[in-house]
Amino acid sequence: MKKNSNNRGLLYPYVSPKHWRIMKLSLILLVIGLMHVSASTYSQSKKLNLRGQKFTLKEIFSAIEDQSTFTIFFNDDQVDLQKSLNGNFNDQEIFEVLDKVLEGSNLTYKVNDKLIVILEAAPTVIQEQQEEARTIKGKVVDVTGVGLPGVNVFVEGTTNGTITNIDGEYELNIKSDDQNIVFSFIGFQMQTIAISGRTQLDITLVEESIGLDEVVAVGYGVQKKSDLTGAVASVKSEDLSKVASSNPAEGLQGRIAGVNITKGSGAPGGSGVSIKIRGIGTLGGNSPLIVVDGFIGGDLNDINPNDIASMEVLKDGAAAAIYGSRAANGVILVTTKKGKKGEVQVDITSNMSVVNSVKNFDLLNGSEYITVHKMMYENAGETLPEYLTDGFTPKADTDWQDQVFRTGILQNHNVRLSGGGENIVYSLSGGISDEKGTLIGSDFRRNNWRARMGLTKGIVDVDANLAYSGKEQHLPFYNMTETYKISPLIPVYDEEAKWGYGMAYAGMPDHRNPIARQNYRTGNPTPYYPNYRDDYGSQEEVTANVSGTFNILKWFKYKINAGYKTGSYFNTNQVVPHQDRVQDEVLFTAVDEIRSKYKESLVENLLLFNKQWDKHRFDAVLGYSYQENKYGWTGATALGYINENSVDGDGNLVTETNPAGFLDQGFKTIDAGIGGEFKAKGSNTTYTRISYFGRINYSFADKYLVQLSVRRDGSSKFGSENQFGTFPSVALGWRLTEEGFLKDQDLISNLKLRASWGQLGSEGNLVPYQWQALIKTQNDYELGYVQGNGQSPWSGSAAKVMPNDGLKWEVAESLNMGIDYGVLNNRVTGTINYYINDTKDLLMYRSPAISSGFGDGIMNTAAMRNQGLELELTYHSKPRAFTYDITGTLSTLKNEVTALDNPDQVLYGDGLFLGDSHFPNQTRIGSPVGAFYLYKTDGLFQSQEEVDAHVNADGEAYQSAAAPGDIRFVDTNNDGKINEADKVYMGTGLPKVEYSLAFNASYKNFDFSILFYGVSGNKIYNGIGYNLSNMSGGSNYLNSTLDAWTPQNTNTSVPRAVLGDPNGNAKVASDRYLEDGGYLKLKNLQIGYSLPQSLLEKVSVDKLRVYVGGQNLFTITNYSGLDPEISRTVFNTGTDTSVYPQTRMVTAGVQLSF
Amino acid sequence: MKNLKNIKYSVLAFLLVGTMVACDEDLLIQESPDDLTSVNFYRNQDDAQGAVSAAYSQLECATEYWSFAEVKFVVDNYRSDLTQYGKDAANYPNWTDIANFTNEFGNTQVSTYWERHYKGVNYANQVIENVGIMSDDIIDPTVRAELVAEGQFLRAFYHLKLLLNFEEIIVRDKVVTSVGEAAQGLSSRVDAWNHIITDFKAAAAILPVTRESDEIGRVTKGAAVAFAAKCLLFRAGEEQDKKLEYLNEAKTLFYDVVESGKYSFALVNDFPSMFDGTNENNSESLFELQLSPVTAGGAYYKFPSHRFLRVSDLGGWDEIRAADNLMSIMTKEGTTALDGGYDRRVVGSLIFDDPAYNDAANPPFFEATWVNLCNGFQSGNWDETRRDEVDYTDVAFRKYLPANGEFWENQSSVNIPLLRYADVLLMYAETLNELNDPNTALTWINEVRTTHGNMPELSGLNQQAVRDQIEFERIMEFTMEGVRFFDLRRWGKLEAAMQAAGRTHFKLDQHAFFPIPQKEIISNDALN
Repeated sequence: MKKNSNNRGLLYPYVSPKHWRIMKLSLILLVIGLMHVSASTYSQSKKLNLRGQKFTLKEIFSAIEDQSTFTIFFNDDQVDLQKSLNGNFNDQEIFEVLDKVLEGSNLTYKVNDKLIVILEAAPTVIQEQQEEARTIKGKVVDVTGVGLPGVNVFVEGTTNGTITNIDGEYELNIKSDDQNIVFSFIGFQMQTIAISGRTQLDITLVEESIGLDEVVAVGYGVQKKSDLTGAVASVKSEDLSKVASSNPAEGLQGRIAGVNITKGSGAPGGSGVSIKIRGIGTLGGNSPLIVVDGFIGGDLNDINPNDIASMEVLKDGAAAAIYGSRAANGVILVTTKKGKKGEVQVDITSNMSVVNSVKNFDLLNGSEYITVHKMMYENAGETLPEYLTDGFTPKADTDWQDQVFRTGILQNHNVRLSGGGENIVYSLSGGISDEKGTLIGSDFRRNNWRARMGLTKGIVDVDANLAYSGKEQHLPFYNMTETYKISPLIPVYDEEAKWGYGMAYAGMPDHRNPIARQNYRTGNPTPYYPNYRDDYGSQEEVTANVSGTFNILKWFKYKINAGYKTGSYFNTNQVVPHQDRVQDEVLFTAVDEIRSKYKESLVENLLLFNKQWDKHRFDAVLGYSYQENKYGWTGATALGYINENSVDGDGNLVTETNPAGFLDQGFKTIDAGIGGEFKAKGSNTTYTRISYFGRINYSFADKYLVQLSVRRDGSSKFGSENQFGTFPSVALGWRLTEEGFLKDQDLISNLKLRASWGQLGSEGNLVPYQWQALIKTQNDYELGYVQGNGQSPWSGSAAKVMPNDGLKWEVAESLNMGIDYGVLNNRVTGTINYYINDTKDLLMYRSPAISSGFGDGIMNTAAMRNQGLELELTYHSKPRAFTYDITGTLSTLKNEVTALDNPDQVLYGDGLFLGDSHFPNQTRIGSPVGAFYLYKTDGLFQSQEEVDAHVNADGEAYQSAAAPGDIRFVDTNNDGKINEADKVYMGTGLPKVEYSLAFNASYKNFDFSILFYGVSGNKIYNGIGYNLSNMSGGSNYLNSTLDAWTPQNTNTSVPRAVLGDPNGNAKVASDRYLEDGGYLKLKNLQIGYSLPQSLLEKVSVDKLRVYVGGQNLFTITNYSGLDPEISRTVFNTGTDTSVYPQTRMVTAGVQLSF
Repeated sequence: MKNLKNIKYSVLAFLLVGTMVACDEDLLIQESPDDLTSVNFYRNQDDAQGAVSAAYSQLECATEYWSFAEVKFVVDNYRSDLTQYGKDAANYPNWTDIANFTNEFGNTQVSTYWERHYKGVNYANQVIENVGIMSDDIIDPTVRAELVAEGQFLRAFYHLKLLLNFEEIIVRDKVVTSVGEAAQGLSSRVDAWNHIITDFKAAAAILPVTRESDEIGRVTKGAAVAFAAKCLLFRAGEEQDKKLEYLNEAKTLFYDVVESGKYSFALVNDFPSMFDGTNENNSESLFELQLSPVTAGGAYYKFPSHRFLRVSDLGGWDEIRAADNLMSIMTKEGTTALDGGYDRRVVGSLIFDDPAYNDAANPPFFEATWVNLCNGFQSGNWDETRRDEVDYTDVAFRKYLPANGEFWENQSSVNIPLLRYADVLLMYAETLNELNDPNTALTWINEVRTTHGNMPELSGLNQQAVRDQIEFERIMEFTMEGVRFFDLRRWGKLEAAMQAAGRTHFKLDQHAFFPIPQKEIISNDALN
């Protein structure tokens, strides 16, 4: 079949082949319109009016189309439109002119009805006269049933062929019945069908999704997929649209091997989605660089998924190196949709989902709570508090989870208008995403507007992109841990309580009543972290990006790209007097506001070269860029009280605090607090970058591909010593299928070997000015004090972190080897990549010895290696009424820390108990980052004899506070003590393998897609389980604690319940809470139905599709927590702590185009 | 024509590229708009004063809203045999671990205590190093020397608090400049004592004897001398071979504070007034934690410590209370005070249901009787018939409860004495007694007894009896002031006292000191 592949895609209209289908409608209308006007004058002998002596081929073609009813099709690659022609063409017949202009070229033409098709002379498709011929007829249509004009139809193994007419009809002479007919058309999958005696053969062609001619964005340009030398993966809008989410990142999940998308929380707005490309590359933020239409640095969560035409993921060093110092975590290029020439097209999509949390905890109810707490107090020998005494009557038996959970609703509605004329294309879109969260008090709303416009004037092409995104998010004011921990004996409402809400009584532990907390606060509760821009209450962003391309010579362009992005953020919250727990009565109203503004501008100058000599093809880009980033914020707090000072009779200063301001509790502004006290804060930062970069691509005969690139970046985040970093890369490719030895076989249709090496940089999480030892000044407990008779506050100044002017770039060295393959006429396609990424001089926040008195500082330390294998395989079915494709991906990951400050260094993750104890994660050389190092347990002591027998070689008790029912810990290093040194490696939270399986199918008007995604080989430390089963005091627990060890209940793994936990059953991080973290999820399912074309035509609708689907529909896992899909910071990988619980969605939607 | 046009565009393009590439790389130098750096700070006397404020900021774990009460009181007092944790504290195993001596696995309160004190050491070192090198033209050399001496005093004080709680500490005598330098091992206890005493003495040589009214609360020469003496006395209890040497030196220093006439310290008659905010920075105060109700300009130096201390009958959170036997110990002399009541220090230290608290004509507790107080917290429905509902066996601490309106508010800003003249006198007495001069010792004991307790003078006690009396007087004086556990330890009475108090998990070799916090071990490459 290989030999025929040249015949694919012979025909090429003025627009790119992928978009043929969209063009076609207007083309047909155009042709029909012309026929009406010119039916009487139509003649093959029509003479052209062409005054002048010198023309380009393009001018000739245009004249023919303008002056006749013919439409000319040609292939861009074969036809040089700029070819100049000398001579007199005036007043000559169309075909005379065509003969003349094509003379001497290897091109010929063919006429079918009103189409003129320009073809390569060899291999020529000509209609041979056959002696014993009979004819076969038919119609070629696309999946919507519309005829496809210009399709190549020929008898397999011959040069006998034709093309379809404007209605998609063809007629072909054939010799015998046992021949096959091949249908081929660019942008569509080729089909070969046996004639089998038929005289009528109608077929449906299906659009090709894996075409090698497909163009992908690679950063500062595009490349044909066949020319790629790096590991670049692409996801198109069709796949993204299968996920009902406001965050496009969710649509990437499971689509690309090596790209890990984790949705670690069910918070509305998709803000809990993390993206990691090829594992954990750096110790700071691991988010890849997002480039939106050439504007560097963006947030996927600001983009309407519906606006995206494609997302390209640059996975390896060579592909990403052109982005230099910000590319160490990989790069995602987002290309938004452009308009196409033609009439205004309207696309409307709309969906609505019902959202529920996947699972709740089984917590103790009131009587069970008393049972477990009683055990705890009795075992500790403590006097029972009142709520555990006999005869105590609780006020309530509250299920607090029921109180805060609800069914959420997610809605997405989008409209897009697009179209274009001769020198302009445009696309205008607007969208709304609105989500009511599954927890009360949480919601999210985003409005997106985008205008994209392309203009051509002379040699200048202008691409302008203007986007607005406005977001508003509310998160609950209560936290989930408190909600799980509060006693069920506490009523939600309590008339006896001063503020009407239930609180601890009768000596029970004091926790916040979540309902009270939620009801007395308004605004956006996001924390007050001015440095973290992703925390938002309400946020607006405008991005304007304009590029001008000067097509100076055919092989040389100059492009200037100017981008500007500004964001403003607003957070507010108001708290009114109330009490939600015994220990914390809020006496005064307070309103807190923070406003910030962010400005980023980018100027890039690019010189682009593209030249071909014979078989040598060069592509090069040379660029310079300057980027400036300014951020400023102010915060104000109005406190509804005033301190009134006076001196009493003894000469002592007396201060009274009295309510002030806030004449009405409904007032929520800062001004409303006039009369009370105020606080204000604010600052600003400036951050600049200067970069020089270049890339050259060379290919010889489309067989041998070479790419070299280098980028030199300077950043103001580093001290003057180390401001610049240089990041080179090299990549090679070899397309074996272009070699002679693979030409004459049918099995392998595409085979390419790739290898690449590149260096990338990272600034980690550096914030501006961090290289300096800043002296901080504060007037509170952190740095200040009080002095003098008047008890005057005395602000203090000191350096809180160590200076580090030696900070330098973090460097990631990446090696990639890959194979792209296609077999059985590209029915099976795929990619294999193997990579090794070494990161060194990792920029890392770490605490110097606590006793240094300095807080966490950032420093270059540590090195890490990630390596893995990525497999992608797709099977495309033969086009029948029922078509389908199946894609599987599989990636492995091995992460290893290769260097730290010193060989024995141990870096700990967070302590789960208030940050100071219970540390499950450690980072050590030779094991994965943030690995689990845990105490080893050996069951429970069943008797005092067993406790007494647990002694070291000297007869000393290992666990002096132990009693029967407590956990026996293992002295793993046999040093006679059980302590920190006995923690042993017990696995990692990083999956060894991630896999996915996607199945897409269509049958007649139905379509179906399903995506499974899974991970295995990882562990999860059940940190929430620890919190909810420690039985050491003060909270509600999981139902499983009812099974705690007692002398009567010895066949259990749950240790005895004892207040204070003297033996440390739960105080230390042990294997008790370590679980298998593997899972398989049905991430996504969608069933769609497109209404028949015949029906739609009557109402002038192109497409109307309705669908239902769901996300996160089920999970197969052994993990006992709420959901095994968790996302945590690097040093705490795999440790599950309380978050917004995960959700499951059921969606219904509609897509309409007209 | 077309070619010309191309040339025009080419020239334009190259010009643009040229101008942009020539962009100034100086733009890459960006500095903070509102923070100075360690290079350009320390410009003048004000900067130096600010640095000193920071060195004070971490005293007693810093005046942070929650952790002041939850860290300082828990760490300083939960181990005492004369306190017990309150009912609500049972819900916080990280606190009760300290009282129960089950904190082997690392403890949040202890590590916070450690961290805050070392921050203080660091900020003191920043003063000593950076202010110390300021030139004469930007700072008055006398002022500079005093500020550096202040830094040295504070460094010694933080180190001292650490050394009382941890058997070995890391002596930090300079500002660390790298992670490598931060990795420093433990110093021997002897070296640590030497360093602390040297610092106090060096500070004593330079600090002023008194402070101007706008600097009240800042350390003075007398405090430095007294702390040096205190260190020597404590050390004498630990290093038997040098006991005499240390005692003699301590005697000299105590003499200097008490008898040389250089200072004007004097006991305060009204014992409770020193702790309830009505008599701050009094004549008895050598060193006192300064707090403030003033919140102007965003300042905040107060916290809900009084609510932490109160039992629930008094509307408190019930986190700490007196040991069951404390009341009987403190009232063992009965109503033998000169006014016919208890030793005044009983009423000044504890709150309990007693006629002494319910004399409406002369309410001893601020302006209220005990019944009035309970009334205030019994949700308005209080009457005498509900007296039965109150647990009269609850004995709460009165110390540090504000006498002014703050008692009813959420935050308290009463100062907390860190070294009182009464302590100096009792330590002086102890020194003299250990040097076998019980009679002179008794005169100083009597001064404290009579002035604070309104108790009759004692006489004719032998050395052991004076020892016992000193222990008793220290209980009377310093309950809730965080000295009991350390007194027991230096007297060698720790094990017996803990046994008697029913602390069954206590083991002398493991629990006389806290283990080095896990957080330090894991962050300090010289320890892990």
